[in-house]
Amino acid sequence: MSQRFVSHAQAASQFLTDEARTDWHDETLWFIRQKRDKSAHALPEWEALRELASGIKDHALSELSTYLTQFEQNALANGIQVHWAATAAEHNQIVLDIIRQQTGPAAPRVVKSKSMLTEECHLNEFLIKHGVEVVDTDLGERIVQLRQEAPSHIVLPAIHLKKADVSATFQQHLGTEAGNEDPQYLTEAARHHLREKFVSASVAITGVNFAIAETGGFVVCTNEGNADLGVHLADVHIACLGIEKVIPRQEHLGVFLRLLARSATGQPITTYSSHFVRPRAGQVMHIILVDNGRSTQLGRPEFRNSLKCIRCGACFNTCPVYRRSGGHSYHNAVAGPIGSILAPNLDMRKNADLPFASTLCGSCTNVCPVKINIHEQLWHWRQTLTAEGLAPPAKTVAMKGMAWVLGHPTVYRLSGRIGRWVMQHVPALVNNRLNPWYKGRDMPSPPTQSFGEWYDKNRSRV
Amino acid sequence: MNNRQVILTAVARNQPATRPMPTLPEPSIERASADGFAQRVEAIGGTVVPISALTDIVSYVQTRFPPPARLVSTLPDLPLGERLSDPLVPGHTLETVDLALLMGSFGVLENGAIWLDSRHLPHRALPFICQHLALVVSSRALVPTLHDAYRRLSPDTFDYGVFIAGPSKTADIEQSLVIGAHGPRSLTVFLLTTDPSR
Repeated sequence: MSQRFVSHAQAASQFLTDEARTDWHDETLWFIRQKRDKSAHALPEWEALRELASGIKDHALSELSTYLTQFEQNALANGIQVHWAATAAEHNQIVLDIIRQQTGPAAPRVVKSKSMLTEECHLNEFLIKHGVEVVDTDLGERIVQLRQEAPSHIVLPAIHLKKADVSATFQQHLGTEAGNEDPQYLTEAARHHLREKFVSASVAITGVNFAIAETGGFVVCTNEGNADLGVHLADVHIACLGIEKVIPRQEHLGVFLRLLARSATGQPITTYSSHFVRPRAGQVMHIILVDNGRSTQLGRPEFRNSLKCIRCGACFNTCPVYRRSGGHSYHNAVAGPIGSILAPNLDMRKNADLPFASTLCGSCTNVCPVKINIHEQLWHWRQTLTAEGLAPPAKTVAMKGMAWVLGHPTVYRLSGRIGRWVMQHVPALVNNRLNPWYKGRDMPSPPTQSFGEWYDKNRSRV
Repeated sequence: MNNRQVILTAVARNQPATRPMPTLPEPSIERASADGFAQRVEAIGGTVVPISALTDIVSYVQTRFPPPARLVSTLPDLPLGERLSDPLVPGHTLETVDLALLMGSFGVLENGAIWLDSRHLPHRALPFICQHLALVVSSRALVPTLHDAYRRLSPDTFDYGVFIAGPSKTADIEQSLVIGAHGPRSLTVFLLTTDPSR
């Protein structure tokens, strides 16, 4: 974690300095987007499914308090312990208390499968600070954890890294052969390393993809099998979920599981879709329901829809800005377009730059399996942030200058004439790096006269 | 107020006016074809072995997993592998299992997934910790879509259940697909069909 704040635009320019790597990142993610398309187009009912998923989430959010209560009652009846956390700090403390209560003074060993919520709460840093060894077991997450980095994508945590990077990291931490970049070999090394962690862990933490009010159970999806290996071997299972993850009925899983993996990677379903309802004999199961700003977002009509997100990552893979700036440039646990509309709700000041990290092309909205109007919300956040005085300073100054010029006809006409003359006679004066517009774009070729001048000249002819 | 009340009060205050609950699609009319299912399983990295009787499994497994391979099976009438009767056996003791042979409840045509649940699982860790996994599914127990699948799963009938679609896999290293991440390195599906024309 860097101390100095780096804005999305600054981090993106850093990312773009390695052109070959940027192209590779861009193409890799676009390839995943294409796999999603192929998979989606193979289902004639795809659009109807999206509509259904969106409708179920709309309904669930409109009666969320009822469904949360129902979920809690059923989970308790199933023998699961239920906790409520209003903030990230409370969530982390609850996790620590459960671990301490379980293991006593012994050094606890904890394995954790992928959970964006625990990233949002910075659970790992908190646990490590309190002397708890916590091992991320998803391969991509383990790679970035060993490198002391954050995941750069919610589904593909190590998508910013190349084989050579992973090879170097594994050589340093797992003792693999120097220069051996074979993914099969590296994965095998991680398999042995993590098996040892699985069999010795006493506590397993997982996220939750869907929680079902009707049954009090929940579903966790993985391709690697790491969530199940952790949970079924440990004495204690702690499942952490945001309150927006509750859906009314078990049959609704049919809709969401058909959409999730197809949207994420183009697979028809993840390898494992595990349904946890009751603890196994001898096991203790905890659920932590976390708010951390979600109830506030629920009360903002223009941003409420963001809570429908099922974390598939399709909006990342399609986003021209994400693909060319990388996940770390978003300085938030959830990057990409969806992260850019979630983050300002968590901290408006710190994340004021993110809604501007978009071209508003709308591709995110087009691929979203639950039909979140992501690009419209990005635009709404820009309005809200500007009204709060939090828009990026350069944009504010430029907009104010523009407003002054447009409000003074004489100045407007004069500055137009000067602009055209400069661009015709000394283009180097504007086509240089001091002009932020010129960065990445050519200035347009100037017309010889303004529309006003043309009209004055031609009016007499009519 | 405690946390629970604070959160539920805030949610109740901020949630919008009630939106209608959508209706799910009608059950599929067409039947799920065994060939289509087999193709789907192969496409996601599994191996399909058509059998006409459960006894066909024995020679197949004995050839590929000769002694001293450790086999665990839940198929009651086959002279194959150990039985696990005590669910309290620590999952760690299963780490040395080479092949787990389990009965699947049903398969899903559209994605090649097979449902297993606690009613047929001697230990939840077994299908994940074994080196190789084999599932038996009847061609008469196939459904076209996940919607149909959930119609078969009445709530409150299982403590734990899982759809398994292929062997464990990852593509976290530069998007290169590697089979055998943490779980089984292979998945064999014994597709039981009584149709003599197959």
